[in-house]
Amino acid sequence: MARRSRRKKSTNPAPVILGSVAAILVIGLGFAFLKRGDSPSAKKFPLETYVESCNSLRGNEYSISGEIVENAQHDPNVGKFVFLRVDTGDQSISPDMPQSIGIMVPNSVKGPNLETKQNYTFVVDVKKEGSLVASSYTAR
Amino acid sequence: MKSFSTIALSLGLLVPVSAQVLTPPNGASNVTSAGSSNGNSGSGNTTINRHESAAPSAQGEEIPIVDPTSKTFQFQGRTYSMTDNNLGGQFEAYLASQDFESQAALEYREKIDKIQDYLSPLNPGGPDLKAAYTLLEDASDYPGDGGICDSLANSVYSGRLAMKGIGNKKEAIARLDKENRRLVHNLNVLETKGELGGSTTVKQGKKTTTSKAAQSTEYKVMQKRLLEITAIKKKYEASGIISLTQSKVQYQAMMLQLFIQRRFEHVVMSARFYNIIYKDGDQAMRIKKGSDTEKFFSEGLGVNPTVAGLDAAANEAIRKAQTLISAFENNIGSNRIHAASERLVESFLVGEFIPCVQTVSMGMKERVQQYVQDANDLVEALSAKELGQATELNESLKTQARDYNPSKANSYIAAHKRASDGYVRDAKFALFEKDTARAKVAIEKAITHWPANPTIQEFNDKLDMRLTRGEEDADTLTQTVKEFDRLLADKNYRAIVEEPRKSKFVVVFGQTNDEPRLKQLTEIGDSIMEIEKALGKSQSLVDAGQSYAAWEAIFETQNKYYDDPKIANAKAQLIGQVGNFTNALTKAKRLEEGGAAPQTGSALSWYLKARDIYPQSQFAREGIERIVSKQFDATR
Repeated sequence: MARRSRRKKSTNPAPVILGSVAAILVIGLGFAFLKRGDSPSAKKFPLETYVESCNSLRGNEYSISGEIVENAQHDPNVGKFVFLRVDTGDQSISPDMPQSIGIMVPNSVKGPNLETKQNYTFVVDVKKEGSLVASSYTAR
Repeated sequence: MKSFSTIALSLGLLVPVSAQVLTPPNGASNVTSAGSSNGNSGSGNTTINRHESAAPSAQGEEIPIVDPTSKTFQFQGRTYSMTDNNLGGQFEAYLASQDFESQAALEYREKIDKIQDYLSPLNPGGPDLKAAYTLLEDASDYPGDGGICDSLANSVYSGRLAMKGIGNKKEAIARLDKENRRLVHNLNVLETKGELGGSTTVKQGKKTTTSKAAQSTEYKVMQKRLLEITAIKKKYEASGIISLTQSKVQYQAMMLQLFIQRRFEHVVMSARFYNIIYKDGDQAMRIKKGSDTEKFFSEGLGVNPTVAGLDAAANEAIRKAQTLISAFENNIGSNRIHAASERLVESFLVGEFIPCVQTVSMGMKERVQQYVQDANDLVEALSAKELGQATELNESLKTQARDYNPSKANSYIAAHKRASDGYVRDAKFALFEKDTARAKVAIEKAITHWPANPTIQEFNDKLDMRLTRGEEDADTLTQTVKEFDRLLADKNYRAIVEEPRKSKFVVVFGQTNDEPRLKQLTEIGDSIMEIEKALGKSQSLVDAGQSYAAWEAIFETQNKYYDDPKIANAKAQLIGQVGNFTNALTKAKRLEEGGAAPQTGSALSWYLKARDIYPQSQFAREGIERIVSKQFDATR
C-alpha cells in the first residue's frame, strides 16, 4: 500500500481526475440505464386493491418486486408461471391479506433465470380477469 | 241322515206297541206272529199288518194301529209317528202327572168298579140297573172321566125310553084287539037281530037280487072303526120294530166309540147295560159289512161282530195293559229302564185310561221320565249334531239303564267327530298352503258334521287372531308410512335411519313392496353413512391437531348435505379454529367464480394465502392449479 501511494504521487493527477469523472459519469449513466430497465413509466403495484378487485386494475402496467416463492409451471413454448411474494417495503399490510401473486412470464420476455427464493422486479400488465403478464423483469 | 234316523229309532224309547192290533185292510192280509221286542211282556202278541185302504170307510181306521216296521201309529184315519210330539207329549204329561193319585180319582175308580159289580150277573139279587145308573151319573162328575160316563148314562136312558115306548105300543095293540073283538061281537048281534036298517034290490039283466045292507048309522060306525083298528095295529107293530133297531144301533155306535177311545172299562159297563136293557138276546152288532170295524172283530179276534165280542175285546185290552204294567214293574225292579220304558209306552197306548196304567207310582214314572227325557234330548242332540251333549246323554242313559245299548249312538257320534276333526285338519293344511277357498270348504264340511266341534272354535280363534294381527299390521304399515313421510318432509334424515326405526321402515316397505320409499331409505342411509364417515375422519384430524385438514375433510360433505345438523354443527365448531383459512378459501372461490366477471388474479392470491396458512390444503392446491392452468392456457 505504501509503495502504491508513493508511485501515484509521481504521476499526473489530471487523468485521474478525468477518469474519476468519467467513472462517475459511467456509474451515473448506468444507474440511469438501470432506472430505465425498471420502466420508469410503470406504477407501483397496488397489492391490496389487486387482491380485492383485480379487474379494476385491468389494462394498467405495474412494477412489482418480490421473491419468487414457486415456479408454478413452465412450458418452453409458452413461458413460466411464477408465484411472487410481493415486497411491500415499508408499507404495512394486514396479516390476513394475501401477499403473493401469480405472474405469467412469456417466453418472449428475456431476463435472468427465474429462481425461487430470489428477488426480482417485474413489469407486468394487468390482463383479462386480472391476470398478470410480465413484459420485463430484472433480478434484484 | 239315514244313519241318524236308524239310530234315533233304534233308541226305542217310543218303540212300537206290539199289542194285538189290526191295520186297515186292502184286501190281502199279512198275518205274522211276533213276540215282544225283548220278550219281557211275555204276552205272545200277534201283529196283523195291512196296507192302508185306498178308500177307508168311516170307521175304517179308527182302531189304534201300530206298524212295527215303520214305527208309526195310525188312529182315526191319520198316521202318527211313534216319536210324534203330540203322542210323546201325552206320554210325558202322563209321566209327570199326579192327578191319577188324587182322592177324586180313587173314588172314581171305586165307582167304576162298583158299577161293574152292580151290573154283573153275579150281583146278589141279580143286576141292579137303577143302582148302577145312579152311580154312573155320580162318576161322570170326575173331570178325568171326560164326560164318558154321562154319555153312557144318556145312551142307557135313551135305550130305556125306547124300550118303554115299545111296551106302550104293545098295550095299545092289545087294547085295539080287545075293541076289535067287541066290535065284531056287536056287529054279529046286529046282523042277527036284523037291525041293519033296510034292503037293497039290484037288477042284473033278467035276475033281480035283493040284499040287506047296513043302513043304520051305528052299524056303519062300527064297521069303520074295525078298519081303523086294523090300520093302527099294523102301524104300531111296524114302528115298534123300527124303534128297537134304531135304539140298538145308536147304543152300539156309542159302544164302538168307547172302544175306539180305549175306554175299555166303559165298554165292559155298556155291554152289561146292553144286556139288561135289551133282553131279547139279540147281540148282533149293526156294523157296515166289510168295514174295518167289522173286520176287526171277524179277523182280529176271530169272532162275529157282537156286543159280547166287543166286551171280550175290551176285556182283552184290559188284561193286556195289566200284563204290560206287570212287565214294566219287573223291569223297573231289575233296573232295565229301557225295557220298562217300552212296556210303559205300550201299556199307555193300549190302555191309557185303565186303572193299572193310571196308578203307576210317581217314583217309577220319574225314573222312566228321566230316561225318556234324556233319550228325547239325545235324539234332538243327534239330530242337531250336538255331539258333545249327545255323548254326555248317551253316557247318562247307559248309567240309568243297564239294558240300554249305546253302541249305535257311540258309532254315530264317533264317526261324525272323526269326520269333523278331519275336515278341520284339512282346513288348517289348506290355510297353511294359503288356499283359502279349500280351507273354507273344509271348515264348512267340518261344521256340517259337528257344528260345536271345539277344534273349529280353536281354528276360528286362531284365524281371528291372525286377522286381528293383520289389521294391526295394516295399521302399523299406515302409521309407519306416515312417520317416514313426515320425517322426510322435516328433512330429519338422521331420525329416519335411527334404529329401530330404520329396521321398521325396511320391514314395512319390504312387506308392501314400496320400492320408491325403499330407494329413498337407501339413499338416506348412504348419505348419513357418508356424513358419518366424513365426521369420523374430521374428528380424528382434530384429535391430531390438524384443524384445517379436519375442516377440509367435512367441507365437501357438509356442502353436499348442508341440512344435516350434525355435520353443520361440526363444521361450525371448526370454523372458530380455522376462520382465516376458510375466509381465504371462501374469498378465493367467490372471486374465481365471480359470475360474469371472474377475477382469477385476485382469487389466485387468496388461494395462495390459504396455502400459506395450511400448505397441505387440497382446496387451495386445486384452486391454484385451476387458475394457473387457465392463465397459462390463455397465454398460449
